[in-house]
Amino acid sequence: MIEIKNISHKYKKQHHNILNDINFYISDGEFVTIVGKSGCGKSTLLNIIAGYIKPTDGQMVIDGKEVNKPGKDRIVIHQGYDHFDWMSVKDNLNLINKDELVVNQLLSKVGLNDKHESFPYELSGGMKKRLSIARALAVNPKFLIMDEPFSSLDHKIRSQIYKEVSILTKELNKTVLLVTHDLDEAIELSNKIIVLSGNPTTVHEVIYLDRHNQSNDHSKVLDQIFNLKNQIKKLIED
Amino acid sequence: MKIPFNIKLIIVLLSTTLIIQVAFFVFPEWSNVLPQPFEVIKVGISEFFLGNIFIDILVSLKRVIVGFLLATIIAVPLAIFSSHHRIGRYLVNINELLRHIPPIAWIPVAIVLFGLGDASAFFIVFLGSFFPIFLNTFFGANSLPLVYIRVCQSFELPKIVYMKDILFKFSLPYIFTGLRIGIGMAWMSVIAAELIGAQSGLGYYIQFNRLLLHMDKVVFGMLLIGLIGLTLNKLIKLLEKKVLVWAPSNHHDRN
Repeated sequence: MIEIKNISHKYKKQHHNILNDINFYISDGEFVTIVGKSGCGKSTLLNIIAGYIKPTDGQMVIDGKEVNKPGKDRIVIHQGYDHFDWMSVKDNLNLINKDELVVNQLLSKVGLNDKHESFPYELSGGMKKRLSIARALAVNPKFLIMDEPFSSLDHKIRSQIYKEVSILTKELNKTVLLVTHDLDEAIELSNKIIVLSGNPTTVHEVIYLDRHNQSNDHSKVLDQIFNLKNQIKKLIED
Repeated sequence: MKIPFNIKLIIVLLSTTLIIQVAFFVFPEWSNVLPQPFEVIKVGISEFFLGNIFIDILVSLKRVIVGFLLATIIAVPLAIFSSHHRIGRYLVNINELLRHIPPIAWIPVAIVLFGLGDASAFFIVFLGSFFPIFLNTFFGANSLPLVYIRVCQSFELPKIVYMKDILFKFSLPYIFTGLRIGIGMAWMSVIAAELIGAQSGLGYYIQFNRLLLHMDKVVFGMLLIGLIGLTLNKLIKLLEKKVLVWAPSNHHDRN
């Protein structure tokens, strides 16, 4: 479980906090999405959780221990491409995990089983992202942190990969933290949506989505999604 | 239709020779001071049959290879190390100061330190090629994107793996640019060193024949220098293509 306790952050050259007194928790196995206006500090918060930057105030507690540096338990799938161009698909994973069986299994899970020896420049955008996912899973992290990871892909491929990620992370029992500006994706994938807003940014609302008691009536579900989307939009604008 | 590089080179050389030969017919007074192309070709053939020129070529090549390899072995790791260490800025500033001193200006220092012979030529070649290799490698390693650094932090890669598999390999295209500039500088430096402070090599061959007023041999020596320089550059390009198989730019012919 990740607990974010009273986290505030101010960049050196800024006069005001970008994040102010942020509090929430992410339970094991949850798919949590952070939404908010662009520039509100979503990525800053994510970098704090990844351990890349230390918050000015507050603390992050993972499974009861305070953590303030990056680690194999929280792997980030970055916004741009983050694979190593000079290594083949297989070598990108072998750098992290030497176990051939695990590497082969992961590559076939993400649909790259016939691309082991290919170099990244030979892959499509979607395949490159699948490589990042496979590599992230190669250390068997407890948490997967995704910073608008598929924003460079077209909408069709993006929703397809999100669905695959959702299935894969459930199957492997991973806890996922996603930052996105796409509300449809947030509603479709998450158990919990954290809405950031205000100046300085704070947690405005935490919305829990009950997937177990979802109606079977398709039009009712669409109505619910529409209402939820409007509610989140309003919260972000507040 | 795509013409291979070697054929292109031969066409350029033959057409240039022809143009110069025609110029000599148009301006016959030139032949009082300069050798005509056919004279240079004639002297070239006789020098090859005599065989002594090969010794001079090999001597110069040995000096270039030793000085250049020494520079590469020292400059690349030093630049990689400096790029992520506080000492880096200091070393780059020293480089910026020293790299503006042409290798030829070091010749008196080299002779005082190492005497006339191979050692001072190695030193001059080393200096000529060190700076471009160091600066290009440093620039490459220094431009490692933040995202790669963060990926390495998250995966907790050991420092040695980070240096060897990430920083070094990311810098390889920059290192090869440095090597290509460096080999050119090495070749120019060795000729300069041999013109002044040596008793053998292609530079000495040119200097010796200049004193004897054998201008055909001087021009032949100059042409040899150009051809060997071109070959060395081509060899580095071939090596680059073999090593950087992952770079999409290496899958297009850039001759």
